[in-house]
Amino acid sequence: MKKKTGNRFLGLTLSGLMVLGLTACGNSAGGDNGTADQPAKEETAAQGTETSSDEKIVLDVINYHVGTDYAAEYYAYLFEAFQQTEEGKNVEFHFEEIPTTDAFNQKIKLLISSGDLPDIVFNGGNNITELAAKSGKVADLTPYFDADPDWEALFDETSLEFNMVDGKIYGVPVSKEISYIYYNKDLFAQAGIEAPEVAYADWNAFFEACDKLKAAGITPLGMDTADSGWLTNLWMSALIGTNGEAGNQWMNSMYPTEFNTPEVVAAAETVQRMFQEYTTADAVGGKYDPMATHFFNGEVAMFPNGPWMIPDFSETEKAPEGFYDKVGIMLMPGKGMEMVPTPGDMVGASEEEKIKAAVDFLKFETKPENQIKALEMTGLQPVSNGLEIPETLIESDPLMAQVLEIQDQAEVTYGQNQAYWYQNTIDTFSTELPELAYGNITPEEFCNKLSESAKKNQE
Amino acid sequence: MKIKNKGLWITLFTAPCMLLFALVYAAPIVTVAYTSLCNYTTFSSPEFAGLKNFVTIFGDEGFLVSIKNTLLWVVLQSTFHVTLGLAMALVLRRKPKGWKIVRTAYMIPNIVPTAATGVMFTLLLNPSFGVVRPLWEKLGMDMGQVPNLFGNSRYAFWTVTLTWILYSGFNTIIFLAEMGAVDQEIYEAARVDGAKPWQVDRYITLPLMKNIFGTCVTLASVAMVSQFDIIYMTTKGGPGSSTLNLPIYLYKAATLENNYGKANAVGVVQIVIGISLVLLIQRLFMTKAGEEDGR
Repeated sequence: MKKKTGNRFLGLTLSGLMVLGLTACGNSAGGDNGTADQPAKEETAAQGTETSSDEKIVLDVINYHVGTDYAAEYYAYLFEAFQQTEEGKNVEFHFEEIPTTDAFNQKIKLLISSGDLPDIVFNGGNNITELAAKSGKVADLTPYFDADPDWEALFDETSLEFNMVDGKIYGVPVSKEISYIYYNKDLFAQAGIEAPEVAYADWNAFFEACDKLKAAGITPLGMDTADSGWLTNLWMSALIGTNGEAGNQWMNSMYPTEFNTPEVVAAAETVQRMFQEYTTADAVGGKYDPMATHFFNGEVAMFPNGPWMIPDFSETEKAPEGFYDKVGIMLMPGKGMEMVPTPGDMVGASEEEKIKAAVDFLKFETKPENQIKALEMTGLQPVSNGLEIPETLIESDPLMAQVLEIQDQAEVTYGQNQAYWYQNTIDTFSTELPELAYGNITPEEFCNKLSESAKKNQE
Repeated sequence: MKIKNKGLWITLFTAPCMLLFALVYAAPIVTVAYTSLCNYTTFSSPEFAGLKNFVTIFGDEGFLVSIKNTLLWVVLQSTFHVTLGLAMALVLRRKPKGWKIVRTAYMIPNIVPTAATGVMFTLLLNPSFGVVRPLWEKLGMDMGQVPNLFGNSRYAFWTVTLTWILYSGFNTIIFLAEMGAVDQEIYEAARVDGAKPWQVDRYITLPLMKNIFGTCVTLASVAMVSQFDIIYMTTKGGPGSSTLNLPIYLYKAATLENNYGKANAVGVVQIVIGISLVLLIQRLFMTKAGEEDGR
């Protein structure tokens, strides 16, 4: 009996070992997934950065502007050019490359909790600034701004406030994010529609144009739901942000927890209709890239996005030759435009010498000439107001010049969910959109789910 | 042959594994168990909060759905998937023409990285340019209603399931190895007695597979309790919560809500479910087999 009990105990222990081992393996794989899915290229020998023997300051950087990223070339230039400056001549960078913002954000979050942040922390959005600041793992940059009024003067109050946590500046904004509608001139002509010079007067006029496109056998809109449902987010933000003062105020608020407002419900209703009547069959469950391909291939007439997409129009690996000339730009109906300051890059270094070197790099990154360079090379809009745009840009990139011109005509500006919502709410938005699209839930239920999700952050 | 001090030998042989487990897993598991009882987020260090996290998760509909989906996948995997592996092994055991090619081909899906499998199925079943569209057209169906297999919660669970449930190559290999170990004299005796092939399978091979079937069921079940990658690659637990399981729920609690205490409470539930399954399966298979052996 005793022996039997002993055997049972041994059997039980071994079973426990087996399942714990296997589940632990599973968890570990899962936990790593955000980064392990992406082939991270380790170039740095060790995480702990020390100044090397020739007194070079070594800064660790995790860079997601790599590979086919729209800004890869610009950032390659930036790092190299910084090392040619007086401030950067003694600085060496150790890079870890992580393609895609999504994978980068996951990695940074893990590093925030483990305390192993790189010395320069690029900001991929998703509330990273707040997470990093509240964890105490990034440097307070307020004294550096205070000590350099010329640098501080490059940024407007909104941009700096956007990067403040508890009254301290933690992020250096490098650009402004704007978005509007790209349209295919050929498809508009095919449907006999004349595109408005700036924007449709209201959403009714916009949907009339959609109906005409549809009648001509053209799919009017590009939409998606997967990842964060970026395109649909831009439509929905516009629907809310242009819906009167209440809607605009709501769409400009940080971390909303109440989504059952008339404006949000109305927007959800319209989005449901857009999925059911005006977009491609693969929009539900679809990711951004295949949807962009639909636009490049002339399969959808209108596509919401920002200026960073412009270089893709003349990239023959992505779009057919001559596509650039077929694209027009308009603001959202009611002259609306999404405009948010970008979450700024941060400093994760803890040693004074490294903090200073990292700040020097961020100063270099935000120099007016580099902001213009970024505009030219990537389409990133300058964070500083009133920078002189070179005449050559009008000739070399007329679409970009048009973007700069049209944004001044926006009468209503608002934020978008990736900048302003809690991250789990963005995820709920993405996973519940298909349910909304197929009518499995009502717009009210959709909004309730968003509210429930947002409130989890306050538990 | 009777072995003296059997218990001692078992203890000695298992000691390295136990020691390794204690060093590598025990500390994290204790931490997980403790922090599941704490308020613990990215912003804060663990602070004891009793059963708060468990009350929160069991009050969340999404968590209950994730348990339901996890258990449904466990049942499907430990029945259909393992049986399919066994059926393939029974066929291949007879070494029909081309059996080696089939055996190798059937293993291929098991060695393709899950991320690649996920991407492949996402593209293959895309309602705009995947294989579903031409098939739909060929069947003369309404082209405005091409099924969106991953995108519509009506089909998503079963579509995700189909990305793995048919590929039982590992089980086939395990069963084939066990079948190869069966004394050939038993089969010869059966043939002499005039047993037909199906009778050999039914009355000799299958009963002898009971123990290894139990092992395969255990492995399949535990794998389903921790299944993550292909679901994350294809649907991320959506649409709605139609493909949400425990690991995805845990991952979201940790990375999107930044609530480590809650995530670890989910981890504890996951471990409890895993251990319970192993014990249950042992009871179903191993004990009976032991009884039959007269032990």
